[in-house]
Amino acid sequence: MAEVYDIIVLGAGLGGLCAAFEASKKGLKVLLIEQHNLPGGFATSFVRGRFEFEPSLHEMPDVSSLEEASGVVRYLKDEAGLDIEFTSIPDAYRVILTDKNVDVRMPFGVPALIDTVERTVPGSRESVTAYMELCDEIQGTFRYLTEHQENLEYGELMKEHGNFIRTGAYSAEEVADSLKVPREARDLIYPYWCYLGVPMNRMSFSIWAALLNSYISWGAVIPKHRSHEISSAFVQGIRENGGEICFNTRVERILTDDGRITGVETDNGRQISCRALVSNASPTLVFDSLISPRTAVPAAARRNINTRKHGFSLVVVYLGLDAAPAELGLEDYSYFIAPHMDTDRLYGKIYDLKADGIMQASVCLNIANPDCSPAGTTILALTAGFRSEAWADVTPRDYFRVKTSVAEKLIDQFERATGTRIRDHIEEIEIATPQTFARYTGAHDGIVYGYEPEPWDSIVPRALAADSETYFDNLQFCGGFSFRCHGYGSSILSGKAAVEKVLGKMGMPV
Amino acid sequence: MKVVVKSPLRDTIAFILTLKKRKRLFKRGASTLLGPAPMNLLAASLHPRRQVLRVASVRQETPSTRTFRLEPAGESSHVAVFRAGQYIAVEEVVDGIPVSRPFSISSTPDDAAEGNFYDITIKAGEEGYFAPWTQREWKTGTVLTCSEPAGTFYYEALRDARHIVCLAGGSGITPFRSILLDSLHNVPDLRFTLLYGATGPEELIFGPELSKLQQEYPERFSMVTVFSEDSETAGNIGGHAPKTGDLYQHVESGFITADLIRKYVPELQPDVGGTNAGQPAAGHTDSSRPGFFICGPPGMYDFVTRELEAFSLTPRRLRKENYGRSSIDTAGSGSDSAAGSAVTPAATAPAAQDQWKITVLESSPACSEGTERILPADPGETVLTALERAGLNPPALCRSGECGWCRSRLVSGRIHVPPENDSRRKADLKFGWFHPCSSYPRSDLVIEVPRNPIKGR
Repeated sequence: MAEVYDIIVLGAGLGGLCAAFEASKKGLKVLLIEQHNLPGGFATSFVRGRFEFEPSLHEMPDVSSLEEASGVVRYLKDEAGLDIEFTSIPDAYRVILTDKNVDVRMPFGVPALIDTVERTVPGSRESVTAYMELCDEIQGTFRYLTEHQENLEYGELMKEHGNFIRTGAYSAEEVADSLKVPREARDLIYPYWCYLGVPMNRMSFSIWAALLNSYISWGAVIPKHRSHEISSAFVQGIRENGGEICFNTRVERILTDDGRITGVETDNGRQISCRALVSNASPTLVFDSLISPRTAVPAAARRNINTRKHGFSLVVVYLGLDAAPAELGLEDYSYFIAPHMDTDRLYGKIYDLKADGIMQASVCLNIANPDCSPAGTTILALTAGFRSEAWADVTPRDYFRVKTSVAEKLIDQFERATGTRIRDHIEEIEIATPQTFARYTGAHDGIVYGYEPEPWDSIVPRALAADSETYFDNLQFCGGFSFRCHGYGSSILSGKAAVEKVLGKMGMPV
Repeated sequence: MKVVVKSPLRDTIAFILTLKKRKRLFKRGASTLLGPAPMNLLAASLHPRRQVLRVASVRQETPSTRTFRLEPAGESSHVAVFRAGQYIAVEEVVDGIPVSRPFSISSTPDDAAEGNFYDITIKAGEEGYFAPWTQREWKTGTVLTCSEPAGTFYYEALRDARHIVCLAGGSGITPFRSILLDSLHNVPDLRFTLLYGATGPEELIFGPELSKLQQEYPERFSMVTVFSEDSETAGNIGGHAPKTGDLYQHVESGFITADLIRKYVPELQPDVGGTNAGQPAAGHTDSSRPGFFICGPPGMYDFVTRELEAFSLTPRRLRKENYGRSSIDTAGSGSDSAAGSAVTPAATAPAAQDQWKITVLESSPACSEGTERILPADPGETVLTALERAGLNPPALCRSGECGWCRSRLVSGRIHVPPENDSRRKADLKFGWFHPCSSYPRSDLVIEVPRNPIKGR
């Protein structure tokens, strides 16, 4: 039974699922190995009593073109042809800044957004309009790069996409400064920063611009049956394509020989051979602990993972409430709640389990998906970023007490900011922490996001450096730690890119 | 629109230099090993994929009940911390067939953290063939493969009432021992009323200890023993260890009825006769009302559930430990209802026309144990039981449809899932995945089962 797989995919997160789907679609012999008994990684669901919770997704931008770099919904529906039912989010978000008396419902659509900001911050129209135009232009350049990645003309790029080049080295804050966007207007526009998890003075402007424009211009959707519907649809597609999947199976070692990946060894002691490996496990895990022998890892690969800043993890409080949203006074799908929108100070708070002065991004699923729970009930999830380091000293024995205290802070903050009373209606509650995410996904230190996309480690530098940072010719990465950075859309599409890349490197037909 | 951040030239140079900056940073980076990260270590400590435990001692609790003290052995250096009320699944080879059973941990989280042990307490007679097996075969030194602690039957301060009414039947007392000891010692503002049903005083597990606890916490813990056998010893309890005649504060005979609950839980009085005019709508009334936790054998569940209807409890105030109970199929046909996990591996075959055939496909030769298998299945037993009896060693934890650990693919065929044991995800329904532990065959089935990772190699 010494079968050799064309491609082994390590990990059935969104990137791994897409990679296995794309590779199997090409008729390759594919094996997808997942340590958990479910596909999806963070893109899953869980049931408690009468409720099925969404673990991680807030929404996906509903970009209407396949060519857009962020057109992931189009990819899933039209290109991959997966059986996923999507439902739309009504408004972008409601931002409540408790120290600043700000409580504004932000709409989708660029003109509507500009109007809303102008109403709240008179005199901001001109700069915000310019800012949103620039963001749209940046996203246009990403589309151009996607379309021309094989035959990129640097001259044309410099000439036609000058704004992309001139802003490419800067942080989102520096570009907002140069356009003189008023501080109070930024307070309203910045909440999505937490989807990338880097303060605006360190965040690559280009990735921020693409993200903001994707959501505001196109609106957003969620799958009707939680993220597990996306993952399950991929699994079905992989099976139909003839791909194989092993759940409950952990890869203990990646086997190498003479600078090439030769296969993997699983926790039941089997050695499985492959011609190429696509890893949804991060470079950090692969180069730090999985590659065998250890000496096969080039020093440059170790320097790479040691230098990059690992992103943050989350605490999520999942609540099944025994009253309808209207009875509770919940009218919005997405709430961003913080004392202020100084993202550098907010980031500073995520090292501290006291959980004071933090930002939370909370979702009432029923507003977009009324049938997600039985009539007269509500699903509410409160999410806050935390550095895993904050949890490092928590002992197993203290763990449950500590996470309950953090959850209580989030519930307090939500109730005070929204003037609702949810505490008397908690029928089910689960609290996820970095430990939880480490447990279910195997992610290094329970990190939810990938490496932080600062200007030097954003999509463009990652893509440009990709060849010089490929340490094994037949190994490519996908998922939140790969070159597209994190987020559902990036993770999914990175799977397809990784397959194409690894086939190209190996001289196999793409 | 031409955007300039600093100057056109500086901006362009800065863009080109980002790659140089990246290279420079990498060159300066450390090439040392990061090693296992704290959250991965914490996860491994709290949720080990399996625990290898050794029976350290055996205690006879009642004539039919034994407590096994389990300590780490082999690859495990410590028992995982748990939440009082959780269970572990024990994997055992019974008569040559690998099976798994969940047992509540009757010791406390403090015992696990400080003493490095779990107690599991097993009563013969309620658990089919498995419990007698433990009494025959498990001795000091027996090594067992167990799961991590699992289950959601625990007290949660952000959700539950400050007064908990515990309804326990028989060995259903086991999670309550853990919850009561843990909460009374560690959570100051909690109050408990325990109504504890047993056949008679000699079968009252933990009786003397609970009685002592009641004396220690008279304001916070009150215990009512309810003996179902027409016993003249009520009020004059002999039991196993007790010597005093009035060991128990409140002794009743019969069953745990609504009237009995009312008698000992006065807060419920206003609800006699159903809804009350002047009270806020349902969902707003229960903040100050007690919550109910129930654990006991199937017959007791059905009885108590009917009795509790008198109190119009909202779901948030009613929590049940269902583990291992899905085999009792009340929604099935009459001939099915008596079967279930009580079926022994060598159970008598049902009539031929009642048998279905389950074809188990190989998911991938890379990870599955063998080739396609075809096995018989009784409509009155779960798919999981059929798989176990055929020696397939499928993954299983809760055995009640709740935990999802046995999740498998239903390629074709019809199954029946009792609604109270149906925790399938919506997308699993859509794409054809199911939980063998809570599913009964209603036709020939073709399924695909993932490997059981607890057994390892």
